[in-house]
Amino acid sequence: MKSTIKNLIVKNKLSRNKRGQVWAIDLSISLVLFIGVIFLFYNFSISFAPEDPLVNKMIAEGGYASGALVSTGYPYNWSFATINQTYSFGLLDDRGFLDPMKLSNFSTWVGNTTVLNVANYSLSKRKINTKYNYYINFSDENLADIGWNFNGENPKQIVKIQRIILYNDTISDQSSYLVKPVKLNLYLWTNESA
Amino acid sequence: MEFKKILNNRKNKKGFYFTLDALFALTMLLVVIALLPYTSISNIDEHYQMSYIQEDALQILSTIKTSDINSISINNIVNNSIYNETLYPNDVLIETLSKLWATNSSSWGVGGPGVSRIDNAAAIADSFFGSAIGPRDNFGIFFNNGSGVEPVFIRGNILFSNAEDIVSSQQFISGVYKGREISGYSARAFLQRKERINLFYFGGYIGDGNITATVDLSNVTNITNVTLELAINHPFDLSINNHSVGNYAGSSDPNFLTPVTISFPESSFNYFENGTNLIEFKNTSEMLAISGGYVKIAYKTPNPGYTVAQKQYFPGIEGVINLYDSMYSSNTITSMNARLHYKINVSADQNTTLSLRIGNTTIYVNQTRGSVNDFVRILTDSEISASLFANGGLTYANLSNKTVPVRLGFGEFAGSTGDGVADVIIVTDVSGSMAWSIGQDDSGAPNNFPASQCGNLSNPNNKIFWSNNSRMSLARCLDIEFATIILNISGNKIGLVAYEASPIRSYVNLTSNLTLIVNGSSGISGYTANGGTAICAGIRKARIMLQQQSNSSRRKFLVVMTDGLTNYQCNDVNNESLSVCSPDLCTYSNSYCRPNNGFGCLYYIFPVFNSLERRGEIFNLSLSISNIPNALVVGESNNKRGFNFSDGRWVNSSTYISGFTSKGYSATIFNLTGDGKLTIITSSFSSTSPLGYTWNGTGWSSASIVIGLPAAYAVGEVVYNFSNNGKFTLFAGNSSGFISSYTWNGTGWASNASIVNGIGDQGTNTFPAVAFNVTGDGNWTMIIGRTSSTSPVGFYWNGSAWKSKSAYVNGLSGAGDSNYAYTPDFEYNLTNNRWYILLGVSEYEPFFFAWDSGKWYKTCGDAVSNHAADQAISDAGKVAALTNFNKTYAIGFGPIEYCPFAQEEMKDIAETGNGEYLVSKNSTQLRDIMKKWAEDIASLSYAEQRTNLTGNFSSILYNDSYIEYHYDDCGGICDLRYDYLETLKKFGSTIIFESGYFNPATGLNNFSFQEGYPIEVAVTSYSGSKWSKWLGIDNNSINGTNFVTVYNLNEYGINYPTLGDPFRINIPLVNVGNNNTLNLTIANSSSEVHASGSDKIFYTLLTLSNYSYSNVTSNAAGCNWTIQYRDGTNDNNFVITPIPANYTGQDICYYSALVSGGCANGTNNVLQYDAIAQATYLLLRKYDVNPDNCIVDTKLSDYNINTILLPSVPFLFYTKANFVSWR
Repeated sequence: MKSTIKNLIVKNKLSRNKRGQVWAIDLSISLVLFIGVIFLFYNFSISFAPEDPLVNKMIAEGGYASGALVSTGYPYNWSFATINQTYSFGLLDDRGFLDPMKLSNFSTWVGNTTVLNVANYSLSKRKINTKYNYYINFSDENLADIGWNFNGENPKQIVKIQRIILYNDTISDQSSYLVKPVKLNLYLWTNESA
Repeated sequence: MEFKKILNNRKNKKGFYFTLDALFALTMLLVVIALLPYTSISNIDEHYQMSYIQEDALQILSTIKTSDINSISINNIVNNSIYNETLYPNDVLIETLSKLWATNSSSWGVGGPGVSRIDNAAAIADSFFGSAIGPRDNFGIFFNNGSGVEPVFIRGNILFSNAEDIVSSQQFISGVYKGREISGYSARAFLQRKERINLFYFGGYIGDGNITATVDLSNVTNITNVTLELAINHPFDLSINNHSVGNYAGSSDPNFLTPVTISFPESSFNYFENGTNLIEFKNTSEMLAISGGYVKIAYKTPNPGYTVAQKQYFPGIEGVINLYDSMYSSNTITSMNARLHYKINVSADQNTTLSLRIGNTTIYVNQTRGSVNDFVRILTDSEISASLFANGGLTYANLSNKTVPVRLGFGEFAGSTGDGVADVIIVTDVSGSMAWSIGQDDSGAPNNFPASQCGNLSNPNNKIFWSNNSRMSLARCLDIEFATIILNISGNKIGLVAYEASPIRSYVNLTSNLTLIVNGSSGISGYTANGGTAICAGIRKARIMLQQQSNSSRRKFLVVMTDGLTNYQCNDVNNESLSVCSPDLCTYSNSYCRPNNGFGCLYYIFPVFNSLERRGEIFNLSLSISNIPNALVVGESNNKRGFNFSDGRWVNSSTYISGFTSKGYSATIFNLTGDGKLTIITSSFSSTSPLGYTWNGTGWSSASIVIGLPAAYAVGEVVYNFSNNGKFTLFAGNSSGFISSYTWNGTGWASNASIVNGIGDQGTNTFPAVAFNVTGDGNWTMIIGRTSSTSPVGFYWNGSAWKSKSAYVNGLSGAGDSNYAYTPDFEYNLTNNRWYILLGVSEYEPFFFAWDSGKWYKTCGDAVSNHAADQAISDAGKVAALTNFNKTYAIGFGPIEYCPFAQEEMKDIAETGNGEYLVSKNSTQLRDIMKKWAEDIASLSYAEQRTNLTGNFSSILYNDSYIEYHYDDCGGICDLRYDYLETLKKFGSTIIFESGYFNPATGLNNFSFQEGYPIEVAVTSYSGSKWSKWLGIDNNSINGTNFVTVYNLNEYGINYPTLGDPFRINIPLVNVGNNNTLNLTIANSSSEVHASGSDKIFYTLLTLSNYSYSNVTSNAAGCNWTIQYRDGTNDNNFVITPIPANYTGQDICYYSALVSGGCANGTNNVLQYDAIAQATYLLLRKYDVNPDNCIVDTKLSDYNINTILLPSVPFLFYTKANFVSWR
């Protein structure tokens, strides 16, 4: 190792008279240093830096919110209630299946990025136990997404929670129904710092 | 340019380059560091997310039934026949996967060879999760039960072996173990006593004639008790299989609702045989009918289990086939058939129709002319099902799981049986006073609504009930409603008599034609009011009509309506004559009229003075009702008379004037001198002094109680504690028009003018009546009569003076006759708890008023005839004497409500016919009672379930006739639990419990149980010749109110004679709880009553105690047992038997103290590995008080040891399912 450094110094002395080479070597060294520092910083920040309290908070709320969504909600038959009569937006029926009527009501009341009912959206946050912006979509493309999509909003933080629920694919036609699991993706996001 | 110059200059300096590079790098570093917080739009905590995936997967796979997924690819695997004994549709998905894993080594899976069952499991999981779990989720399902962990499903892009972070959840799956069978056997063993009690029920009505009941017994080894309970209409000879048992009395009540109970003598037990037994009921002179009952037989048998007969024999009937019965299937009927075996003897030209109905549907009709010889008709399943559907739109499902009425009888149940047999004559008063208002006599021009305006009489606001309507208006409407109710039942007939003084205005002969009754030329709608009142003639005409138009088989009823007292006599020499005596024309020359001293036919109901008394002496009339109940003395010394009040009229009695010298006016006083006796003071306007007497029990004795009273005052009233003075006070009138008063001081009377303060001069010859609270206002009341006016005057005492109050004489204004109203006298509660006032007038009789609701009503406001009333009563008695006469109803319209005599007359008329009466001026009250009577008649008149066939007719129903129904053994739910219960019923211990009786006042009864399983619950209903109509159950309370209907006869229609009648009403077990209240009613078409006091509940419970259970084992064959048991003190008794009875194996088991090396033993470890042997052993231990000695302490020879095998029982071992996520 010592000899290597020594060789570099010797080489440096030998090249002092070559202007172009001096710049290139410096640049190379600086780049190596730079990349090294970035790498070390990244690892340090991920592994050893204290956790971001905002992220922790959002993850915790993501747990609450997804737990609320993966339940019947309250009242259990809120699909027959108004938004003001609904205290919790659970999306399952009493068998544990995704309730299409509840999903439809939720979607109608809140909307999504295309047409968002801002007042209901704001109201709905409390009913899924979060104060952050949220956006919900499903792995089955036939199921409507709900809430405010963060795309284009340049959020400062996003938390994504995935849950698996049962979905009766053709509930209206029991003769050819198929029960299958689908993923529910819940995104909580914010533009605010911790 | 300057900057470029500097730069150029610095280029010439060597260290400058390094510095510049370092600055550049540093700048970039700072920029990156500065931007880092903004660009780290961090996603997710992946560890956190991992737990969601595997927890959700666990939840889903533990929730969803395999059959619910409905995926073709999954179904192709799980529904494959190779998995019939392994996989079940109701298994949740994780169970299915685990079973495939556990049985992997037993054989190839679907798609094999080469495809393992674990491959099948993986395919199912893969298909199920689809894209919901992707490669990036790194998720797997592993099973583990000690033999290592094996994956069944894995999906991920990181090898599990390379995982750095793992999150896992576990689920325990019981009954699944790698390499073991999925299920085994468990057995239950129990003792079953070799005794059985069977109940054989009769139908709701079996008649009419000699009756034979069929009792099927099988495997009887010894009969221990036989009792018979039945409601039967006559005494009967009882025999069993042609062996006479004895002669017994029938039910005591005429409607035979009360059963008789007979314990068969022990000597008769031998008359019973295995197989079919016939119990016969015979009477050689009367037609027998049984309205419910049962035979209860206790016997020993090797097969004592609970069974339900699916063939229901009809009873044998020799007489007239007239059967009201029911059937019950506790399960869904799948097929039926029936056998009818009968014989009919009639004259050659007589038509008969024999019908069989189930529910409300006729399934068999045989119309024939002449006799039918011994005839058998088999009704096949297809015939019955076709008839049910064609005639009633029914399927077997409509007859299943409930009690259904069954009817077998003649005449299509119309005309000959079941029709109403009432002949009712409505005798209506159409005299002139019927034009008066219902509320008051002679009150001008009341409303007279025609019959077309009767409207809905159920509406109390109907204008027809106005009090200012004519009595005729109301009478027409009530008559029409009455007739409508009666004629609503086919077969009933109505006749009309409209009477007045002519005497019969019109009549309509007995008819069922309601139109004729209402709108015919002599119908009710045409009734108008005119003429006198000859009640006796109306009743006499009714009797003649019934005699001529009815017959002995018909039930007869009479309804008499009048608005007043009868004033025309009938011919009481010729009872068939309808001539009457006019009061004006009645003379001594008429052979049957009874004149009254020159006053025509009229006999007054109040005392009348003769001509001598009346002559110029009318002023001297004096009335005083003494404290001797209902006594009256009137008149002056030489014309005094005494009366007592009886049957609403005053009857001469000299007793009350014995020893009494009347001065004219009198007043009685009780306990004046403190001697507890009645005294009387009499005086007059003349100058003679008053006299006093004390009642000595048989007459009056002179008493010194008039000291201080002056002459020439008319003693009017003596009252006690007037105005709370604690004294006796005497009020007297005089010729001057003033009222005087005196207070008793203990020895004599002292004048006390203050007590009459405020009255003043009220005319001539005043006479006061005084009483407290006559009108209910809490005041002392005085009414003064006088000869100077036809109207009395009224006063109330305000504490210091009398104040005029005209309200007290409301109704008395002008109440006197053409001259005056005089000598009033109060009397309370002569009848009906009312205040009455007697008012003397100048003519023949006094007037009598009753106080009601602010007004005095003249009580008997017409000239009436005592004798005529007696004649009406007498004629009513002659009607009641007719054969099969049932009841007389008498109803009085209007103010005769206040006339005691009228009330007595109506009461007496009704009583002659054992009936009811009402006199009222309340229109709705009159309507309600008329309606009730009509309904009562409809009820009483009903032929009900008795047959009325007469003439040359006989028939036989042979006891080999039956209905048979088969049902689905599983009731549509052939699952393990159902089979298990059915097995228990056959081989388990059942006990029949009896409840107490239903409360006849409420129709309620209850029963409850805490242990056991109900397998049959039935209510017995003694309905006599009525029908059991409705049974409800509240299975949540012994004081229930929320009843669920389990039987409703009306479900099958309201033409009851066409419907059967259950004696036993079974309750579907789904309606039975641990605490139950039942409500039962019986009825015929027109009336409904609560259950009789003889009805009760029989409930059979399967007892579940003292059973033993084996563990889950892989074998269940049984063993050949040798069991030692104790009988009394003898220990050396043995039962040697295979258990179960059909065991043919070679294993040998002992439970005996004599076995060496342990008292209980079995070859091949059978007690350990065989479920049946193990359960048997455990049962024997249970009945062995001291298990160490290995002698069962129960006399096993009295019991069967039965076992029940439960297959497909999961084992108790388990497997762990691990749901794992990693990264």
